[in-house]
Amino acid sequence: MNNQIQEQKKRLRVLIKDRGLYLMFGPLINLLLAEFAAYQALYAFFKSPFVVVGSKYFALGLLYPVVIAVPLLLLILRRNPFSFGFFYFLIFLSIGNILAKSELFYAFLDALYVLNFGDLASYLNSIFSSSKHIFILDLLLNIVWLFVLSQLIWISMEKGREMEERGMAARNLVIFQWGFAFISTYLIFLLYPAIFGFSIAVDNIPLIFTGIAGIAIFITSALVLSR
Amino acid sequence: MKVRKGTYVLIKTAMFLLVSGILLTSYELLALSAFPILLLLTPTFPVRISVESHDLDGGGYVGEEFRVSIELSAKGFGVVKVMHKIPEHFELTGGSNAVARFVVGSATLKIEYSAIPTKRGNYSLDKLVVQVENPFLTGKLFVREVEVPISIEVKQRIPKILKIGVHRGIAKSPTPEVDISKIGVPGTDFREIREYIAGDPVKFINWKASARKNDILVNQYEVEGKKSIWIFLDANPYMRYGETIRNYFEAAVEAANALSYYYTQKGYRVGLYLVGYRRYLYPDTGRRQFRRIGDELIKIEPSDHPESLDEAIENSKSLLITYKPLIYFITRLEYSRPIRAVLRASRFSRKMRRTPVEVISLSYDEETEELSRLALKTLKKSVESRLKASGIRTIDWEIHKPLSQVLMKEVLFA
Repeated sequence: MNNQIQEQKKRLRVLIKDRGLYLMFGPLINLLLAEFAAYQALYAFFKSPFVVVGSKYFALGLLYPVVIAVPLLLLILRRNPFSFGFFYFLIFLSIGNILAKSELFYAFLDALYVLNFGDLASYLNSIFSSSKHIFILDLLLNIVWLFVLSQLIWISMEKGREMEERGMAARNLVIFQWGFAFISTYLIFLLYPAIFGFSIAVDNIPLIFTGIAGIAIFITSALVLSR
Repeated sequence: MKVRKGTYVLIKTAMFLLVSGILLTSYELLALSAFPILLLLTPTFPVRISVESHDLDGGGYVGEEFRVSIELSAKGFGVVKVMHKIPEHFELTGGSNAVARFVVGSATLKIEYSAIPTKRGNYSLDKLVVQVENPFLTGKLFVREVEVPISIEVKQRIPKILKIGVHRGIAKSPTPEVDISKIGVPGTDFREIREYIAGDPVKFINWKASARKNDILVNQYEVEGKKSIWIFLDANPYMRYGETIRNYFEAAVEAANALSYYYTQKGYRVGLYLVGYRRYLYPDTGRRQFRRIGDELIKIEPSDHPESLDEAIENSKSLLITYKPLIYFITRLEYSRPIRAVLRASRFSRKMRRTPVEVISLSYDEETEELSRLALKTLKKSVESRLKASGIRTIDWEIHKPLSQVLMKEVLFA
């Protein structure tokens, strides 16, 4: 019995000393980030018009444990708890309030009118137009910040593991990278509203300019990725 | 240019937010799409690397561990990875030849490792590969090389041969050992300076050298009537066969080294012909000659331009006629089929006396019984028996066994 305990201790020591603490803490930190982002997304969801529609047919309260269990499940499956798929899902959860302000959505309602679904269109319009004033940018910013941070943590952890497997001495490198990633993303997170002036953007900039800017960024990204 | 993973992830996130923002005409998503892009704007700052100190300790022989330590100073900002390039024949036994560090301002990087060379040669360990990237592992990766003046000469350990068998055959005295009187009349050819041994004539004392060393040193001259040894080392492409560390060629080099050491120690003239390179070293005596042969053997690799043993004999014919040496062929019989060459070599002597020739036949005992293997084995046996019939001694050496053991067996057999 004593031998087994000694062996366990030895193994743990080897894991901590030789393979680096970051391999243990990386997934745990990502799990925490994912859970926090999930909470933000759920908060946004419960402020959205979807709740009004959905609560008639489903027990939406069950969504909390389901969403929160996803990162845990990913961790158990030894995958990144805050994966791209989970990020897409969280953005989808928060989409209700975005739709309430979306021109595309109202164009869709107009189409419903034309297609003789006037009742449904006016019902949806009544629900969604009442949510136009709800501002969820801060919640979305939290989710994006947490996701970007988690990705940087995951990439540096994988790189660290790869380096160790190749026999490279990289003591503390990953921890420093995490620290730097946290500080820089947090700074951007703090300054972001000030830089982009959301209220001005939302209210005053004509759609055409944002469209042009968007297309320009899209083309630039496509060029960068194609190289 | 390959997009790095960090860059890919950030662009993918930005694109998702951007496309969703455009589709849904959402200002929020559009504005948020710039978040990952801002991180991508972080440049890779230059980091200056300089070598502060370096040290190489130990080594020198195949299988002997050596230690390297290099200290570098880095100035700048970013993730710095430094790797000391080591040849493929080196095996790391401790430490690491690569180091990575997050540099903010200035930092010291230390590379410390120990390794074992598994093959002889002159190796230059003068390249440090430096990689610099930004902390997010995005953007451009700067790769450059820094020079560090480290080199190592790895020699093969010479297997100690106690005795080489005296073969009594057609020749009167095939092995020169029996021809030589160790106390023969010294000639006029200077050989080397050595320490005085009781009994040395006073006239051979080198007074100047003795005064310099504060010890009695004597000149040693070549003994008259000394015979020569001529080693034909087969360096044709077929000698490459085997493992990287232990193959036919490595074994042949080991045999050449051992024979030249044995005979130079005993005071014979030893010459070397590298079959495949059409190059030879004139027969000479002493440690200097052994060093010369050793230097040649340390850098040689199997040639890409085949040369038959017959051609080799033709190229060195004049020397063979002059010296009438004991000739050693170190080869693979099944490929070189040296019957003609060996017989020609043995006829360079006077009538009724044949130049002594010995063939060291290398073999590699594999357990596979493939058809090609069997064919080669049969061919080898046929060549061996033909050589035997011609009165040529063949020493079969299974290359995983120690050479001295094989030669000793021959002594006992004789």
